[in-house]
Amino acid sequence: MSSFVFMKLLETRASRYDLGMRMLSRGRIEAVYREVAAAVPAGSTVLDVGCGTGGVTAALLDRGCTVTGVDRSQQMLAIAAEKLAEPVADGRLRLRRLNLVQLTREFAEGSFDAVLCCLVFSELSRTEQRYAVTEFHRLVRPGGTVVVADEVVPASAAARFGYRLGRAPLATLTYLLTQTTTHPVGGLPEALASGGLQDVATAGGTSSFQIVSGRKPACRPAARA
Amino acid sequence: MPAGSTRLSAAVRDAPVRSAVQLLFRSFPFAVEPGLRVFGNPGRSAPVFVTCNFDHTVRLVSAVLRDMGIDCYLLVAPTGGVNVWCASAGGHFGTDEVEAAIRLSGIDDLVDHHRLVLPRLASPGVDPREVRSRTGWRVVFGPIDVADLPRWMDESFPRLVADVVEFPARTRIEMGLGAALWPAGLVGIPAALVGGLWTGLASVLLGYLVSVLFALAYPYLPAKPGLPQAVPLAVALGVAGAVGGAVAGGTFQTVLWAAIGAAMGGLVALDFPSWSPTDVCKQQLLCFLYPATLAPAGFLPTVDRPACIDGCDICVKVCPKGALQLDALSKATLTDPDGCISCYACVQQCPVDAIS
Repeated sequence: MSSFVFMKLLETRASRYDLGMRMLSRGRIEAVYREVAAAVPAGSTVLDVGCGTGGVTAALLDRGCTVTGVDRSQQMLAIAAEKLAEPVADGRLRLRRLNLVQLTREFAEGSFDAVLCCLVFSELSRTEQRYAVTEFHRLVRPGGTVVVADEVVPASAAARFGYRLGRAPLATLTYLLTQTTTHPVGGLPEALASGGLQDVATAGGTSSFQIVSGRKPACRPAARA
Repeated sequence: MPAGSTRLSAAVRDAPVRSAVQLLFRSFPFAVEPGLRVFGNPGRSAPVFVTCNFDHTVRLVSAVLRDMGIDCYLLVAPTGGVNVWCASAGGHFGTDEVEAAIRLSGIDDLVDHHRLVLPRLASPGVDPREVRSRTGWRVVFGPIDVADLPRWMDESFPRLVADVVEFPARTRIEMGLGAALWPAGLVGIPAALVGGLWTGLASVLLGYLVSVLFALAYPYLPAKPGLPQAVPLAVALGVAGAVGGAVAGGTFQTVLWAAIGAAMGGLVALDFPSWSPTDVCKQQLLCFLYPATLAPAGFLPTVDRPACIDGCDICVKVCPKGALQLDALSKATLTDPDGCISCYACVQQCPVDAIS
């Protein structure tokens, strides 16, 4: 999974994104999407932040969720709308072009059972990551779930070396062509915990791809009144 | 070009190595953390400035604000590490990024007013009406060169005043050094493979020399950017290379240096005009290599005269080349089409969308 940096390259040609992701993950990407979606309770009302071409979104819909997918790229959303035309038509999926900071004025506090954010943090600065966690905390209802999945630097030194070796050529190529790159994120569980989420746990992934979930503390009715 | 590069600023003195690296690799973005920077001890009416998150620019602006000794806030917008003008003309420093700078910094809670001072060259990308309707903040454009900020704050703040972009010789030398990387590399590496290490190094040096000289001569060139400049330069340098190679001896050297000279001349002349939004679209050939600018290639503004507000001169003032004027009927008119650089600032800033 050292190849997520390549996404930045693929994003510039949104129509090739799905094909590229399938090739880079050697066909495992669908399984990864399913694993990420499995961290969200079945049947939830979910906000999929950075839904892209709708990979994880499709897996969420398969779990019976009602999904609002947002992405900052109109091209990616157009592909998602085409692939997921049926759930859009029957109202199980809503797609909106919004970036991270625009969520604040679009959705009220506690609008969702769960917020899911896959392969977005690696494109964000630390300031934006902190903002995102705070915002996700606001968007889920008390007791709701926040799931963040992303490329991480492996913990063991040997794995880290192999990972960096495999990633470097792809990162260089992507950087030369698009002059952008992604940064594997460190401390995903800590980031969620410092954003006020509890029961933060790693819900799966590999040594270089981590799925982390946390829960917004449920308040007693008395405390809400 | 980032603003404020016309003198050796405190930013360069404070970090000479970093500044030098960023000068040589000017075509690459250097991103810093977006968000809030605090200068002095700002109160609830302190001015709020906004800039891009290109490291070089943030250091320049910070140095000027420190030198001014004012208490203020600086919001660094997430523009992908790209400088103000390139980012705004390329769609990476627009309303979305200003909104992000406001939200990420939490500035709403820190001051009582709602007035942002933006760099003038963000005007091609930022729509002040849209910023206001989304965030409640009012956009005010400051001067083009951040070095002029103290004077603008004293004399004009918060008024929009006419200001034009200038590329003095010093700035052009900087641009020439930054722009030399691609031609020097693209010619130097093959030259080293074919002719050996010394040939490669000599080609790289030649690339830097040609690039800087071209930059210095640029405003005085008789031909238009693109092929009209590239072909004569390639021919001239090709001939010079052939002569030099022949003097050094051998057919191989003659052909090799003719090729090096021609390639270097062509690449420098084609690439340099795209070093500011000034001529990206006029030069047209390499447009596909650069992030799409908001304006289509060869764009010239046309004014919808009935819609144009009599006597409103926002576009006249905001044009970085002074190419628009008010005519006898107090309507905006493009008076200098050759001077227009298709930057889109007039289209973006027209309060009644009368320019397209």
